[in-house]
Amino acid sequence: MNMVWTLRWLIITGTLFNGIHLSSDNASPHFATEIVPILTKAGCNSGACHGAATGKGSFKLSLFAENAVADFEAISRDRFSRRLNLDHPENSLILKKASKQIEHEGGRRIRRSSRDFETLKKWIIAGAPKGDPGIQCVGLEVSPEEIKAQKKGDTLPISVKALMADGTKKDVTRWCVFESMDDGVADVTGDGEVVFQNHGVTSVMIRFGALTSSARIGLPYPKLSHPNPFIPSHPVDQVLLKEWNKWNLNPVDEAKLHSKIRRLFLDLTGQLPSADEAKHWAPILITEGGYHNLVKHLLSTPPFADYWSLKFADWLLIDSKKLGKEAGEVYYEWIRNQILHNRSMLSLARSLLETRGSFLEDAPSNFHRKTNDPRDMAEYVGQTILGARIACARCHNHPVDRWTLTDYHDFAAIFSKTGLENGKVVYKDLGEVPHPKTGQASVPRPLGVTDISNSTETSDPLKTLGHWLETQGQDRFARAFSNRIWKQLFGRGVVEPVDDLRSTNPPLIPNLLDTIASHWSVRNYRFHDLIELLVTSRAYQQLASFEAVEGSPKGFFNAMVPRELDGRVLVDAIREVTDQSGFLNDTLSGSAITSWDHRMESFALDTLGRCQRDAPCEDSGTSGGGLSKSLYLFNDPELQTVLDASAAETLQSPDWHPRTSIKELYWKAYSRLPTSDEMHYWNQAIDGSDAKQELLSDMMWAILNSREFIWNH
Amino acid sequence: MKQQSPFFRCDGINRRDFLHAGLMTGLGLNMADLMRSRALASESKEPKPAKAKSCILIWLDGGPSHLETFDLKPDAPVEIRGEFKPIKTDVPGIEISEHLPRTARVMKHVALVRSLTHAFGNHNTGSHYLLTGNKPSPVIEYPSMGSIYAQQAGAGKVLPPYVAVPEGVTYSGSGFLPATYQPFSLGGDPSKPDFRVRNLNPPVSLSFERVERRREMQQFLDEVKRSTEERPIHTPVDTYYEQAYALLTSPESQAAFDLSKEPSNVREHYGRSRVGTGCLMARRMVEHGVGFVTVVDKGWDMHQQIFKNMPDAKFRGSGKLPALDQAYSGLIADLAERGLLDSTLVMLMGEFGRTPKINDRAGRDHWPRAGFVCLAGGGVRGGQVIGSTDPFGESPNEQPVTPEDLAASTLSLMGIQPDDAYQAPNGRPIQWVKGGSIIKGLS
Repeated sequence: MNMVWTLRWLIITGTLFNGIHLSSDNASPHFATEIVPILTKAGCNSGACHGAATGKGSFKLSLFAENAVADFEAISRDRFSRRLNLDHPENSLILKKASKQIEHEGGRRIRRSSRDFETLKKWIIAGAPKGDPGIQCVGLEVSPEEIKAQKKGDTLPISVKALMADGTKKDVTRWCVFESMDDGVADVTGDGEVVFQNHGVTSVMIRFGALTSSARIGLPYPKLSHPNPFIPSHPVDQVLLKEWNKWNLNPVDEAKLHSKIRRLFLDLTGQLPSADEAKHWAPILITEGGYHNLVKHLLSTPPFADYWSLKFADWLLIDSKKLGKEAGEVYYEWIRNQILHNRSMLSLARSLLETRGSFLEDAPSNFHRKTNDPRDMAEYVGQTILGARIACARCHNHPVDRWTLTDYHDFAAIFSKTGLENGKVVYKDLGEVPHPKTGQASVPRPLGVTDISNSTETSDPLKTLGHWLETQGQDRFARAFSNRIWKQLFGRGVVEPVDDLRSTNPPLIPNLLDTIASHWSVRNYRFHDLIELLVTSRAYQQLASFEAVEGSPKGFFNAMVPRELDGRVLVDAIREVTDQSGFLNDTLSGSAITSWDHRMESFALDTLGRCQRDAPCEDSGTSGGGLSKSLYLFNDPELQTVLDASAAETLQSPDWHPRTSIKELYWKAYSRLPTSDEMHYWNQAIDGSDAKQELLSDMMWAILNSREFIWNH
Repeated sequence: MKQQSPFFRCDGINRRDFLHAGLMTGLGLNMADLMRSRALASESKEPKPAKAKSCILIWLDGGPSHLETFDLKPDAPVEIRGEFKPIKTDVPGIEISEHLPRTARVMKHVALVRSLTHAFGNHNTGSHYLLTGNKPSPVIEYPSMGSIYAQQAGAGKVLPPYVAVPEGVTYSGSGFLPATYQPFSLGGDPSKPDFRVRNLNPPVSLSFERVERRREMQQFLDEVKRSTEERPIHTPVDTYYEQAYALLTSPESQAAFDLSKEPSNVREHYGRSRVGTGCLMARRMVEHGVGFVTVVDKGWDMHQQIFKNMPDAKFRGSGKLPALDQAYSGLIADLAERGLLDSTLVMLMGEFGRTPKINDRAGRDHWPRAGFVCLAGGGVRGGQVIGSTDPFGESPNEQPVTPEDLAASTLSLMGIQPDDAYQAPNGRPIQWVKGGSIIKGLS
């Protein structure tokens, strides 16, 4: 108690916190900024307790104090004010329940002897006033923002200040709730002391009242086995190396030449390099600028546009059944053209957002046919364009992001003026989105924009949104988009999940997305430029290794993550290796990656894996895989026919020799020559066999079933 | 009581849970990790003996109306009660729909839960909740009960532990567990006369010697990588390959998939519908030692013309209910006759019930607040009703049963501790089911 009195005295005299409003002796604690944080700290308003949608035990608080006004009503007015006893404050239900003097399902949350209990009591004694609504916390200041420990067992404090609306700050550490995102690395005590357990990097989530923030914490790995030798010139590598050095991580070596070639072809074009291409590029790659030349070359090929527009079709859920075959085709072709001609992705996104018109003539208008519920549309736009998962804010303020109920519904209102009519996406005046609390029509407003006064020159909210995206939302878009592309190339997003960018979900490498976004903005957000930027980093050219990736924390990108081939890529690769373009020709009208329509029936593609387009696929196939895939590659008669035909054709060549054949197969499937061990093995197999066609067919089978073939590494 | 994390999301997922889960799904655990996880999981508690050696889940995809099937409200106003009448069953006091006359004769085996309740009213979220026992989350997919079973059962058998007939639905998969625990989908349409599971056998042209040679070559290719500087890629695919190979060299296990071995009276007993054939296939699977079979019956999402489509669809008796009636009652009776019912848990459910108020298209919309699940066999005490709904079938009146409770009960019957945790490589446990309690009086 003494301490409290001392503190109060210091405050009253203004010697401790400048201008702080904290209650003087006679004044009551302030409800919104002092009482509510106590409830949050005690867990009263969490989702499992009174913060649940229906409350608990007929007492409902807003989830994580999103609505202090409602909480005030619930505590002081609801149920004839039974929770408070102004005559005998000590007997107030809220105190007796919280301290478990009477039965409380949630147990004892606040000790009777605690300071928080006293503060609550004091508030009740003062008549449980609502308090000055002008007193508000508007943000949190966490210090330090990053803690780097020295050794296991280190215990280091985090302190948190609340930024008040009047510009003052107030230390609120003891009313914050802390949580380590990885208690394998460190635990955090209720007072914000971080106790380091193990090497690694993670963050601490911090909540004060309704506000959240985070701090980065880490204990470096044991000393580097050798200092990282290279001096990075690439912006991506510069960011990564700084982090690797900071936490004592060594990256793996660069991949072999043939691996780089194969990886680039697969990642950029979805196709294996042909034997000739692999042979052609191998010597070029060791020359100055050779790698860049290959990148440039691949970016200019039609398969690059094919492959990436297929990915876009997966993300944008282009569905011939829903859109109609013709409109689907128009939409897809439009996307493909944007990619082929290296257009700005920011402009592409803007077009998607603001285009109305005919399904068949104004291709991007099809974007708005995803759903006719403006709320669903808002969530979809949030995820695909802005990397924000706003769905939580449909029912209450987002508990771990900044979006409020109002933000959500105002954003959704943007899509309410859109309707479908005679094959067109049209403007309709009538649509609106009622705010769930007030029932009033929400005012269309881009996500999180506070001031819309200067952007109302157009009456079409879609145009406002498009304009906002290009002038204010571009950084957010660029980070979200490059994170998505990064995942395609590196096997894991800088932020995971890729569409969940928020301050409380920080990436392990803090500045990576910002760095990429700023370099990309200089290149006007053109698609090829982003790809080029990423794949020319040393990080992209590292060895692929599960072991290295698993041995260090995820998300440091100090080794390449091996990735299983998408079913469609695999089908094309099988065609390439067997030289049988007839494989699956009855269903595909060309290569599998040019077949945008995922509804075309194909047992092979369903089994080997393709995106079902129910939701944007980030990883390759959402169908297929598993035992069925193995059985397909083992046994399928379709595949067997291809192997037999391929073997038979190969044998017809006059200068055929089994040894040349195996070398050629290696080039096609692995983009390399067999090692001497391998050649030795195959020589034995060849010598011991009479039936050449069968032998060849079996060799091909084995290669198609090998991991080196089925994986991009 | 542990303090509720303040970072619980509205979806109920703790931030840390999905971080670790993401790490598992993102890279795929290797087998060594899995072994570690299994060991950790089994150390904690002495597992209870399984009453149910296997489980058949008949999944009524789309959300079957409780008011037309197992929870009729004949006394409710006309805009709620609908057109169907209740009939008596072989258990005094239990009444079900007039369109389930065969089922009415096997109710002595069935524990009918009428108070299944949750709050997720779209197909994906509802399916996730019911199939996994965990609330849906935008960022993490939990494993289905079948995949949990598969993980616990471990490898070693030729037939896959978890089979989907004819194929799984969204969220009947392995979620954050490695893809190894996905259900094996038979594919195709088992009700067609020429149905075969594709690719169970090597092409006929291939001699056994060649199959062996291929296998040996492939192993060489994968092995040799280990000696080079590029490390081997160790993935769940490896285990599939082992299993695929084992399957194709075992005629006995292949016979499990062969419906032509069933006499025609048995086929008639189940009905030749998709769901009927599916249930028959499920019985064959269980007989051959498959532990978890999900039979998927699609088409229960009846937003319109529910009174027409339930019994008749195109012509009289062709609707969902008659086919299900024959399939379900056929399965229960057949299992009982063969002495398999005591060791086989049969579950019948969908993702939610349907709106008590009939809509203006003579259909009913999604209604997660009240629904049914029928449990039979595998240690379940039949011939009883558990829970009830209010007079309009809107909400549970007595003994509400959550999807957590249902999953916890199912797993327990199968000898799996519902609060056992799957241990991520860095030590973070994720419980199979959080906070479910065993349904009172079920067994």
